[in-house]
Amino acid sequence: MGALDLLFLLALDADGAKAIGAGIAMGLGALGPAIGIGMLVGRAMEALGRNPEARAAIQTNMILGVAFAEAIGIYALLTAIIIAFVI
Amino acid sequence: MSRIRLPLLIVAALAWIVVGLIVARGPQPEIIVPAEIITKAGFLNISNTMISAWAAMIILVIGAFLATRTMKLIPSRAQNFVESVVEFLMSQMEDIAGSKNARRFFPVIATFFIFILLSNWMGLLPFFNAIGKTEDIGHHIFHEIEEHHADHKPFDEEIGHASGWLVDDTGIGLVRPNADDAHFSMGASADAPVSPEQALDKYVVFLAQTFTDFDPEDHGAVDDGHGGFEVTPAMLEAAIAALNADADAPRLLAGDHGHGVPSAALGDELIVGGIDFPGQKLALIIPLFRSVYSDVNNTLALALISFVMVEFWGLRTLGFSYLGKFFNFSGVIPAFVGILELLSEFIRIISFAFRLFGNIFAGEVLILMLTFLLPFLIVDIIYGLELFVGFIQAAVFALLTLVFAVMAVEHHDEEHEGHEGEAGHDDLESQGSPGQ
Repeated sequence: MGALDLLFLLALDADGAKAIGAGIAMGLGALGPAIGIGMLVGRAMEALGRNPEARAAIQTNMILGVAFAEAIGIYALLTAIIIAFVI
Repeated sequence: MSRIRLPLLIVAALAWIVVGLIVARGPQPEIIVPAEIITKAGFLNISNTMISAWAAMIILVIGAFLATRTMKLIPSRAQNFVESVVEFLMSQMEDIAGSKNARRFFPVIATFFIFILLSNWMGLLPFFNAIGKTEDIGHHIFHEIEEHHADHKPFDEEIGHASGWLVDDTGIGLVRPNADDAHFSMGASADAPVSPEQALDKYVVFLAQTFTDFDPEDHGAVDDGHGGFEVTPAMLEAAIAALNADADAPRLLAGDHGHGVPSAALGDELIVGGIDFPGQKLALIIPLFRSVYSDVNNTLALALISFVMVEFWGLRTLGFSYLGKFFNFSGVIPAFVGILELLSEFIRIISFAFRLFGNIFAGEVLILMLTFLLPFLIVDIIYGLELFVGFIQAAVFALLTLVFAVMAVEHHDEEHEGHEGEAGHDDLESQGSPGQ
């Protein structure tokens, strides 16, 4: 039995479908913010290396950007919680 | 020296894991998302996260009062500590917001930081999530069976909270050995409902299984395909005999037809009016303290305070022109941008609330699960990580509120202040360019 068949079999059961749905929502939803935050912090560190005097401005804007990117991950968490516990 | 030390460390680590595996045996803990209600005061439910939040407040208020009661020019130790914390926060805020704004926002932002930090770190104390009152599941399940019997209503779903921890009569919820199978399931569903009488039989067999060495398979238990089995009269009689033979096992109390549930297998021969648990009982711990921000209500409260304060500062500083940021009808694109700004203002509440809740609750679950998965060694490392996460989340909450407040009080038409580090920037650029 292939992995896909197993997935369909699990999805026949309501609890199994919920578990799969919540897992996919969180897993895929965390992918985007993870890439985004990685790029943001990487570039911020680069900028900090080039211009250490601008530490305060860079840090503030970096954290602001990270917060926006992270918000998407939080929506995924919200969706996963709703799927797993509310629906 | 180090040649001896490394094997010694490995042996110590393994011994620590073995000790953990011996001590922390038992059923997997239940993960409960909403905070448990401890008592009710009128219409108000007092939950354990509220009690923890009040404890944090009391510690902060009394601590701050004692440290600054007699202020001296040459500070005492406590005063020195409080001063250094305030100075550190002030200097950090001045870096970000400038001197004028930092002074203005300091009371609220610093309170956010200190309160969240203390709450998060308090949540890692050992008595959190461990000591509390117990809800006796044995009585709870029996009462539910009795109620269904009185209403002539079959069970079409599982009884809630049927799995629990064995505790002794002190009510302190240490997990006991041999509690691995303390999970009661009737196997009821909407397709295959279970009558209260059948549920009673299954529950009696379950009690015999949990508290004595009774094994239903010795008495002809055949799996019915739903994880359960048919209870035969002979099996039930054997289970009752096993319960009666053991002095520490629960007692079945007699009932009459006005009060009690008759058995399905034995009919009116056996009517159970109640169950008495001597010594140990099957109970669910309702912890008295739980990490404050593992409850989304508390994080939402903080998020709302943060939102209201930011809007208040914006309106106070800019007057009605502050609203021009959101309602700008000079063109299609500015109007659209205004709507987006307005939306993002409200979405901030959600992301504030769930960022803190998600991080703290995930940490709680991680620690709880790892304690029982691979006890003590890995969980120690995670404790260290959680100390860090608690600090970072407190800092992020305070910092974001500060940044949003600064954005709200800025005149949005004006350009930002000139870059002071221009000269240094050029120097670095020219130095760096040959290498690239």
